[in-house]
Amino acid sequence: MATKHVKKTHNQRFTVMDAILFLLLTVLAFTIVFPFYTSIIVSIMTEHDYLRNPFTLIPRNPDFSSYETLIKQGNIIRAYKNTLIHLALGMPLSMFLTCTLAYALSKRSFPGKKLLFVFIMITMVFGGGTVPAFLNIKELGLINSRWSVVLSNGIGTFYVILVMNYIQTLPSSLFDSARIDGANEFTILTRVVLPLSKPILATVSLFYLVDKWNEWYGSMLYLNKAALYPLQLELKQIISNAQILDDIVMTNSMYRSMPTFSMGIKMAAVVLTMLPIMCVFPFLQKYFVKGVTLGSVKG
Amino acid sequence: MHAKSVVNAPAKRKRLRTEIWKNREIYLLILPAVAWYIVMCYFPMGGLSLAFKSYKGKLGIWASPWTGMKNFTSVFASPTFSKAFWMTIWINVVEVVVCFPAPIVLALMLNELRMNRYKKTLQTIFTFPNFLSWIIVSSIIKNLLSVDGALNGFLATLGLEPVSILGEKKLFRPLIYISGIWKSAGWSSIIYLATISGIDQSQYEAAEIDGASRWQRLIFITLPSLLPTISIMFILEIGGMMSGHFDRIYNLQNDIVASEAETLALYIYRITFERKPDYGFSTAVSMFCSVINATLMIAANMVSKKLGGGGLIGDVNNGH
Repeated sequence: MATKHVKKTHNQRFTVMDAILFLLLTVLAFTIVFPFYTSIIVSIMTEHDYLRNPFTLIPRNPDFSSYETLIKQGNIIRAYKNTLIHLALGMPLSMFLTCTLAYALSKRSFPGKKLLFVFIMITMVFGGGTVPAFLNIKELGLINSRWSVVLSNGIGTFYVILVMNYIQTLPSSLFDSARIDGANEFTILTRVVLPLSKPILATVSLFYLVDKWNEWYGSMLYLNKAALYPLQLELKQIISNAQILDDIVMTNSMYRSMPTFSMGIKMAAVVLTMLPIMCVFPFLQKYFVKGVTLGSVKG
Repeated sequence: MHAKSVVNAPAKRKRLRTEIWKNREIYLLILPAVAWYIVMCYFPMGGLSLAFKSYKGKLGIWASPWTGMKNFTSVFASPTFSKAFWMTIWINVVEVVVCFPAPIVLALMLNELRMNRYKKTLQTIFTFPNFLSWIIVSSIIKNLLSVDGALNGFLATLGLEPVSILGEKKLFRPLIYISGIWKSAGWSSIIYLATISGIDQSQYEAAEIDGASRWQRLIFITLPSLLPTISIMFILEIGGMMSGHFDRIYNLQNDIVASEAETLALYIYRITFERKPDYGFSTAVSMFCSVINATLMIAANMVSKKLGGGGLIGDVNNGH
């Protein structure tokens, strides 16, 4: 990994090029951080301050009424609950399917292994696309059922490959001795393989978690009832409703005295939606990175 | 599986049967996953047959009547389709030229940076946006760039005229490219950095002894070592070309600029879910995209293998 300390005995002087690099990268980092920062600031601004100047580094009167309005209105809480239900149903399912498949694929040979490999690789190259996927869910009778979202996000083939590659690096002797002891495949998987695969399982489950947290496209297609909307879709709704609100306020002076501050509410919703990821990411970033390094080592 | 070539057929069959019986637990283990692939991936693939049918809601995909190539004839005759097709090509060409190299450059820059702690912080910052949805990212971008947003507030502080970036047709595609880099370049650079860290350090030491400058080491050691990774990323980029970037464009667009970047993915969405749908027609467009994607991916894979860059779709590895 890049963070690994590389010994450089010669040429350790801090040159002009180093200074330029430092500056350039710092400016780039600033362009990433600033949009987040200003979004958070807007979410705790009053409309009065926002209208005076939206470019504020430290809000004069920090004010959490946007959050209050949002939470009182209640949709976002419902959406949080929906997302948590998707996670509670989807995570065990995804991990179960991924582990069983990856373990089978990591075995040296069994009749049909090559076929199985081709069978799953085809889905990485070729897919039906949006319309057949939608009609498939419709014909399965899953429209407006949470299972449409949970099932359609079942397996990430790439994650199966990651786990498979990792299991293949485990020493064969462990499997052989378990087999001699008369353990069946399921026991070997749960008692020997999975405990030894913790690093890759941590990484892959994080990837699944983030994917499921950020899921919105399937929900938009398959769920038509607002009561079932997960967090991301609810956020999308809040953003576009606030847009409509803006238009009304702008075109009709009658509404100018409305107490809601649409940009503030939008940004409060954004902050609430990304908060969990924002809080844990700095601590878990290394596990995500590990996914890349662990998975890319073949054989 | 290591059957000798000269074995008579019945014995071979018997051996296969014992092999299958011996592995029965494995088949049981993969059953749920295989069922998932069949229902969630292969059913929709079979659903592509709808491209040759006229969809009747009551009959469903499988029983709807066949119409031959009729859907494709009307797809290829549609001017909106061909406009969307060329838009897709154009946007992807610019993506490959402008956005694809960005993470490579970023990785090289980060690798050359000598402050290790700071480098770690920077990596965390750069990779973060990749883990947010485009709904969040587009909202943040809109907050920053809207007419009464922070950027214009800043310009006003400097006494400059406000700019309407989001409502300007000419600026929409550049906005798509830049926001794509903003969100994903950091994460993609990690993949390149992982490869760089695997380069044999003695190469650098030898080059240094031979008097190679820092720049020369970058060009002649680091960059060539990155080629296999670059080619894999390139195959992935090419293989998703026809259906890619939907999230980004869909969430960033508004009514004023929508026509500036209607790719095939957005076109399919619009004709299917925002109008009275003609599923046969939409599926024909879907199928067109899937076939081109797969062809490009396989072609890129072959070219990359020929050039020695290493392919993505390899063979089954050996295992336990």
